[in-house]
Amino acid sequence: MSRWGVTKVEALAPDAASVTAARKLAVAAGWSGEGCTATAAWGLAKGSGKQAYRTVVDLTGPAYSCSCPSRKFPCKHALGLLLRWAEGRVPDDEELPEHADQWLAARRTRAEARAEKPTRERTGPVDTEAAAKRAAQRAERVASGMDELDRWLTDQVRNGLAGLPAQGYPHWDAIAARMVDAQAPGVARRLRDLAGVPVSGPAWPERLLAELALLRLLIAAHRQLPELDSADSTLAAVVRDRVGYPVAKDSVLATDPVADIWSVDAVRDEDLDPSLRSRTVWLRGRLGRAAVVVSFAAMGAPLDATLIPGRAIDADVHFYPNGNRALVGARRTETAAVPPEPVDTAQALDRVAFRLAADPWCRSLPVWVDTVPARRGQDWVYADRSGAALPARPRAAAPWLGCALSGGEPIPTLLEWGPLGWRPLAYWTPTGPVAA
Amino acid sequence: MSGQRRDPWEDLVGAAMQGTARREPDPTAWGPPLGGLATSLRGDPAERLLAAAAAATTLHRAGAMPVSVTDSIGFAPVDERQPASPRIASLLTAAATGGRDQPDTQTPQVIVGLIVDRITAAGRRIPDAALPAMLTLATRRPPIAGQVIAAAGARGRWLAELNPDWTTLVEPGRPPLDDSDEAWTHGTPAMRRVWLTQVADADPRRALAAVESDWRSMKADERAGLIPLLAVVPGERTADLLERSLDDRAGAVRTAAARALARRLDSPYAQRARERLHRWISVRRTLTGRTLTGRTLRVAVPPQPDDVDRRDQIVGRVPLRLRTAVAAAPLAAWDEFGGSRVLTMGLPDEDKVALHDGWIDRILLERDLDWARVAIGSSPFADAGARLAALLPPAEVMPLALRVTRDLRRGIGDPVATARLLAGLQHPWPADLIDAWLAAVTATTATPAPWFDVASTVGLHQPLPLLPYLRDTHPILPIPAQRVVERAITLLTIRETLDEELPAP
Repeated sequence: MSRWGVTKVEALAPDAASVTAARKLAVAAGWSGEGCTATAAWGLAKGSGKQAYRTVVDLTGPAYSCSCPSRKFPCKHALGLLLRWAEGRVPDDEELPEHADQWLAARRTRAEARAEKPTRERTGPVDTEAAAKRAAQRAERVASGMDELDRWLTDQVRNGLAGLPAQGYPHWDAIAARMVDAQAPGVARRLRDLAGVPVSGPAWPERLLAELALLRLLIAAHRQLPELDSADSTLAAVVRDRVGYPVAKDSVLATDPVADIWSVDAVRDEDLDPSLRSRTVWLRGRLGRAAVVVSFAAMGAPLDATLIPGRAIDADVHFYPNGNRALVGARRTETAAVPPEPVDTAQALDRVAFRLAADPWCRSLPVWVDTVPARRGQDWVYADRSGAALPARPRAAAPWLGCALSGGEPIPTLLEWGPLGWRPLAYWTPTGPVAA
Repeated sequence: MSGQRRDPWEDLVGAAMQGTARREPDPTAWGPPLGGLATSLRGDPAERLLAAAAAATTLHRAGAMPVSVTDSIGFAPVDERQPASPRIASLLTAAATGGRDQPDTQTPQVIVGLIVDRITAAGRRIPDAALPAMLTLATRRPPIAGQVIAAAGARGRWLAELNPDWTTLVEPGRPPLDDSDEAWTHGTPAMRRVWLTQVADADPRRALAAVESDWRSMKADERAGLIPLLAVVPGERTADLLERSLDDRAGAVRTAAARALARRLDSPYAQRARERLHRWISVRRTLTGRTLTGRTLRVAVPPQPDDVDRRDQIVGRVPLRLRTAVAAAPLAAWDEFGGSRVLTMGLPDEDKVALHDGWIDRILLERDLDWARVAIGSSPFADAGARLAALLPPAEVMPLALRVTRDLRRGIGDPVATARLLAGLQHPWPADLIDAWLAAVTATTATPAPWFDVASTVGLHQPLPLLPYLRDTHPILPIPAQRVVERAITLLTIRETLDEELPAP
């Protein structure tokens, strides 16, 4: 494997502070036992304790192992080692130390087991009757939960929304907990998100009513799932996804892949709750299809760091039934990201309309649009060459980076649509993408 | 059916807020397309309201039209210079936003200063992607604001003018910093100081005339800020203005005027200082038998300052007045006491510190090499060696710097002054001075702050082959010393990168 550039290594860092720490570590003394093969690099990094930290990087992933207590991933030692490797300061060595050998062997074993698992499952006995029974039980529980939510929603509207700011978060937490019990986690998440709306400032009744109404629409759609399954299986899958029906990864990976060159456009990490983080990666296929890869990790555990903005992978992508979320299967080569083909604002809005027709509950749609930041009164907008513009989300940070990169001329901007407005995820420059 | 059309969304929200138990929306007053849809809905009023709101929400979201622009951001002027590479952008952004992982709070501006200077020297400009972070840093770190704005180029200045938080960096509409009178008549106080400095060198009369014409209308702060610049403007009229400023109504102006006048060897102020010394100080000959064996100074400071003392800002307790009076008098005033030999005379114990400090202040003010050499060679002035060394020519400074730096390990000398001396030394340093510096940092970690400045100069100017030596030494130093050395290592490493990314033209 050819050595990566420093930029690629730094793109793996979980935050800017890690880049700084890794750079410092990469140049400091205190490294020993370093070596690398075509697929792995390792080294001992001196820390504050007596024992040096044992750091190993599987370059094929990349995947990382370090004995340090850091909860960041990759930690600064792994990044520091990669920086040293990228700069040619880690010597070639075909003889792996024991700790590196063991970890890499364990990874190989797990990968082989994963590769064999779908085959075993397909060939093994499947208790279809039990599975159908479980699915029926779940559907019954969700339907019951949806009925309860329907009564709750109409009660809110019957009694008036004006009193909700005084009710506080417990009012929403209680019904969200009921939806968790009813195995409708997607609905529970939307309800928790609504808890802050009544105290979110002017025009909160409009924002709240819109979301409550869409929840009721979801309930209505859920009641018609049997009809939808035969009439529009994709819409049925969207409804199940919004309600929170699980989809097994194996079943997704078993679908026919879409093989393409997938450019990694943007990455966003979010803390979903005090114990869970998510990473959303937006991929853009050269053939025009988009995919969203979402991964989760417990707080402190590593998130998937294999998809790096500015890079493109020749890979098989397997889509979930909703046709939007996806998993990356077999990967082949990696190259620089392919430049996007941006649209104008009218075309961007057409895409939003098209998506909402298929998924009225959609709250995020990124589109590459040729825009430049501009003003509409006190508010920011993103204007195309014709002067038509898309409104920025209220209270979002001012797009100074967009101003700097554009210099006043529209540039390809990955704008994410949301119900409240648009916000930039990335910009495309002559030297590649820049994260917003 | 009501005669007037109602906005469906307002009707829905109003009814939802009050509750359908009290009020129901009236879709018959809405008009198409929602009116027709909503009137056909079945169910109880709350269910119908939610269904109509779902349709209205989807219609609103999916049917959104582009909005118009009221103000464009304009176009950045063309900048002939090419931006530096994305890797440089990444270095700059990380330096500006690295936060807690920096060795200390000053490191970001030192690193950024180094990089932007190299960008400018290479004929390039700050990459666009780094401009927002750079402009934000520059507003928080005024010492590098000028470098950043210069390297930001036309696009950086254009961007700064868009954001009210950054406009102070470029002050739109300010007159150009040339020597036209416009800079004086319309400039900010800072620009007026720059103008005065420039013009005073070339045309002192013009500079003074400008100051005199505005003197009465200026605020006290501005008057006090201009006085240090007037100190070096020759001519009797300048001296008169300064002398009159001793009677200014603002204390800050009077203090500044006294300091400025102390620099003018031929002023009435200097004459009064000379006379004051002669009233307060005398020489007593020490005889052993009938042989003259030495001289000592006798000091008699009046218990209270008189009116002349107060006007000349010779105020405070006795030791402070003695130090200020000595510092105010030209060194030539000591000629009749033996000139620079007073530095080696016996001194009354209670006055020794005040006299030493006053002499050092005055030697530094007059930058008198002969007096400095005598003081450096006298053991009572060992602690002041680092301060005085700044006056010596480079060939004499290096051995002295080595001596005072090594002295620190033995607890002799002033770490702050030594650090300042080292920070001002020319590079490259010899290897033994590098070792002495590392030993001094290790020995004086109670006051590490000034050592960061030394680390900066080492990192910025010492040849790159020092890098592996510092990397090897780093782990065996105590933690506070490691932080100091890390700044040098960081800067040397960045210089390595800059050599790759921005080769010298």
